[in-house]
Amino acid sequence: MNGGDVDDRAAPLDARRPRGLQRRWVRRVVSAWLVLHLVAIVASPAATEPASELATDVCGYLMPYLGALYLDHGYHFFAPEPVESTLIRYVAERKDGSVVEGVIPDRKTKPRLLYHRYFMLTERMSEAPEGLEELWQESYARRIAQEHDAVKVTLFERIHQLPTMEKVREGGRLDEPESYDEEELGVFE
Amino acid sequence: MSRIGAAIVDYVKDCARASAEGWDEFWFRPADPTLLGLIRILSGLMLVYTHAVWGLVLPDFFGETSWLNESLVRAISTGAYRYSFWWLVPQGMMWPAYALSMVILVLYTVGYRSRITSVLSFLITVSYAYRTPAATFGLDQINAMLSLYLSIGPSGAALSVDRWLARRRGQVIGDRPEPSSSANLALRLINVHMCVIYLFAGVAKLQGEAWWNGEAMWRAFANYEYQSFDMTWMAWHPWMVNLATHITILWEISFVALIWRPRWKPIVLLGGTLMHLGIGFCLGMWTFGLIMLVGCSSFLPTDAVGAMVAAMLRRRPRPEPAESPSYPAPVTRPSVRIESMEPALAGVPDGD
Repeated sequence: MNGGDVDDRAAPLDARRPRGLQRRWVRRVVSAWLVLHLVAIVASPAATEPASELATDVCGYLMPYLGALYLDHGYHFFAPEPVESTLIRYVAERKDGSVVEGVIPDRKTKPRLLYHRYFMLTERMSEAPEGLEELWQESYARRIAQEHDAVKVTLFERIHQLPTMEKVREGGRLDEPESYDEEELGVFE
Repeated sequence: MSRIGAAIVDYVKDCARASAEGWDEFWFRPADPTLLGLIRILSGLMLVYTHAVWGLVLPDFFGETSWLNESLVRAISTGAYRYSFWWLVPQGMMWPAYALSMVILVLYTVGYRSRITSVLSFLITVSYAYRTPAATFGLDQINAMLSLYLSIGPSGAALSVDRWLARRRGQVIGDRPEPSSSANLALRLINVHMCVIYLFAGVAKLQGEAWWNGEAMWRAFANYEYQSFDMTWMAWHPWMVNLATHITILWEISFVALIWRPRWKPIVLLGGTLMHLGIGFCLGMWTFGLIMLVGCSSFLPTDAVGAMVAAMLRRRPRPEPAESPSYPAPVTRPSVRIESMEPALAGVPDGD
């Protein structure tokens, strides 16, 4: 329990007996778990591509443990290197013919954490497992349709290329319209 | 030969004994739980904030027509052992479930019934993350990692409502909580996990050309979607970009080795503080930067933190009221011997 400190002088004799982690057998059990846990938390990032067969297999065996505890991460922050952003542009058409256009994420979204959630939605779409791309896009299209009361939604993937230092020195801006490459993902009705 | 064989056996035995002692000392040496309590408050505040922000868009992410609808998330999660209580919540109960989550997270932060609320907070954190897997990032990973380890250790043994209530009941004595092995275990788990995170964050970068040619930090600063502070002036100072890139990767990779060296620890932690505040300031990822710093705070010396917090919380004795001559003289009671408190203290659990 989360009790506080007890004056040792006041503790009765039986209270001074080893308890919890002071007991040898408890330490042995906990040590065995620690070994398993340490292997698991190392195997998970080690199994992120490119990975050895050993790391992949060990991670596979430990996946029930890693998955249940939300420990199956690669921790590859900005690795192998920072890359261009993936955004979504949408065109939503209502029954009356009016059209709403927008981009996800919207830089006006506040607070910043919420903006980042939307940013992750678009960044992660490119990581969709094979065969799930359409289901993924359809899910976003449904949400957009509901938000704007639309009957037809067209999605575009926008890749925002990163400018070089030379380009910025020459007067280029980070949000130059030419820095966006766009590709239609599909029309959802 | 037999002498050499015996020497080898002795050496192996000696290594095994030293390793076992070192293992016990590292994981099970009792430690002051005050630092753990401090980490509980800081990470709890982050959990409350993180989930409060979900509340701004709850139907958009947890409703029937959420960005990631149920069939998509179930398809992504197939065979991945991902469990979320959200699959058990009927649509009409979405807001009550959210309100209950927030109440539990607040109780955990203030340290009320910490043994229970810490475990529940971990389950809540994981459930939210697994319901919206494509909207999560490093913040959620660290939130869950910290709440997992804080549920293992006595995170409510210090700086908590639990301790305050125990004190009111006369179950605790002294300014500082009793050192406990499980407090040390939890802190060590955070320590080691932070090392794993930085090590893999560092070595994974070695695959990228931009981390070798020194342009990686520019690529981060020049990303308009991340940008929260204009750092494009660095385009005129490429050496600074290169230096920032090299220092970042050097810091990440060396963290696992240098953080355990007492002389290097303050420098490593200072470097980490600057890096994570920089991430917050320039890339707008304040939540991620701050939660990483909370994780790094697990390397602070437990005794020093315990003593400092105890000194800050120590109540100054109230001045005795002036004795009125008209009042009868107070009756002097015989001093209570500490042994007489044994029955009351016998049932008080320790930090383990």
